[in-house]
Amino acid sequence: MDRHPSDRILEEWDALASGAQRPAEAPRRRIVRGTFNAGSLVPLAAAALIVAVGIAWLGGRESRPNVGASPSPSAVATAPVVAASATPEPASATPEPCTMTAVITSWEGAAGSRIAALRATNTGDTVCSTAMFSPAQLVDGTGRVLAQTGSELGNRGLDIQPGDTVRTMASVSNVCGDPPVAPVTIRFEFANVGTVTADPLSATDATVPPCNGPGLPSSMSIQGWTR
Amino acid sequence: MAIAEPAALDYERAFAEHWTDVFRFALAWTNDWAAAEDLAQEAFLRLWDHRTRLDWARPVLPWLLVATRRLATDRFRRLRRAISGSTDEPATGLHDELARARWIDVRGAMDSLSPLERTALVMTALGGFTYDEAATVLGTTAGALRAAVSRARTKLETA
Repeated sequence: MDRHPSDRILEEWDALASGAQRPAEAPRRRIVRGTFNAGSLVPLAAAALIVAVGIAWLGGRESRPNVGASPSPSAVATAPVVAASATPEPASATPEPCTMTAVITSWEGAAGSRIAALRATNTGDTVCSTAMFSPAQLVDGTGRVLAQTGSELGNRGLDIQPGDTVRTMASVSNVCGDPPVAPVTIRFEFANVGTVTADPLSATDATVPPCNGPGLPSSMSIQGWTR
Repeated sequence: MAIAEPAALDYERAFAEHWTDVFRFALAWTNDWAAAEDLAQEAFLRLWDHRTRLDWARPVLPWLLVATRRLATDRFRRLRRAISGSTDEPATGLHDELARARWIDVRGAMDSLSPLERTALVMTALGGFTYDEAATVLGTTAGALRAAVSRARTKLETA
């Protein structure tokens, strides 16, 4: 019996896709630790001090909506493959992940540093319950980390409603080493959301702060997100 | 001795049971093997981030598929891929030349379909999803999904 071409293509697709190899370990978020040398402790301490002052000034942690907190061993559908029984509930019952996007709106030079103005927007349909301070990295077009903030920047909560925009500024100084590949941009580790890479100012932007001393570490600090 | 948190155990179980489902969904959406592996990884990282706030008594697969779809449509992802010049190099899943050649053929045939058409067809024809269920995950209506499946079939018949 002749098979339809579409059935043949689907069977082939199914056979190939079924051969995909699952990674050996489930991925877990690891906040990137600095690769600074010992001298980097000075700017990190300064950044921590700024953050601590900011937290003290801004007050207590905001509450988050309870999305659902009834862990149970019967958590996961038992079907081993995608099956109709795996989705018995309507869309409204499915807690959807929030989606954040970010963009660098300007870069300005200042006394050996560069300061980026950034804007982040909740482009999804659900509230993004994240943290006011996001660890950040200055990266080039190849993903090479040129500078980064400390990874522990406090846990003050911040709820960003769908469509809402928040802003911050990041300061970077003393980037040495090989010239970066365009575009240079900033990526964030939004708590409870994930890694978000900001849209660079332009696809050809490879400007970085001047190297003030090859033996000195780069430094990067960031303010808390505000509306 | 470290005691694993209950949500972490649920997460590990979800990874073991649903990674293939998520990868297949991502592959259907992107038609790009390496991107699908990347998306599956990111979707599970999001699940990890949300593990303590999820109601694990509910099926987690719909959440994962919605997360995957949203990640796939992230405009920054497209920008980065465009900048870096994605070559769709098969990663861990396609080691041998024969499988690679077969995938190139299948990918070429499926390339004439839109992401929605491909994913709708794969979900309903191979995944066992009903039109309503697939439409929920894909953020569309059952009618639109049915039309997408029909268009996909027509395109593949002439591919």
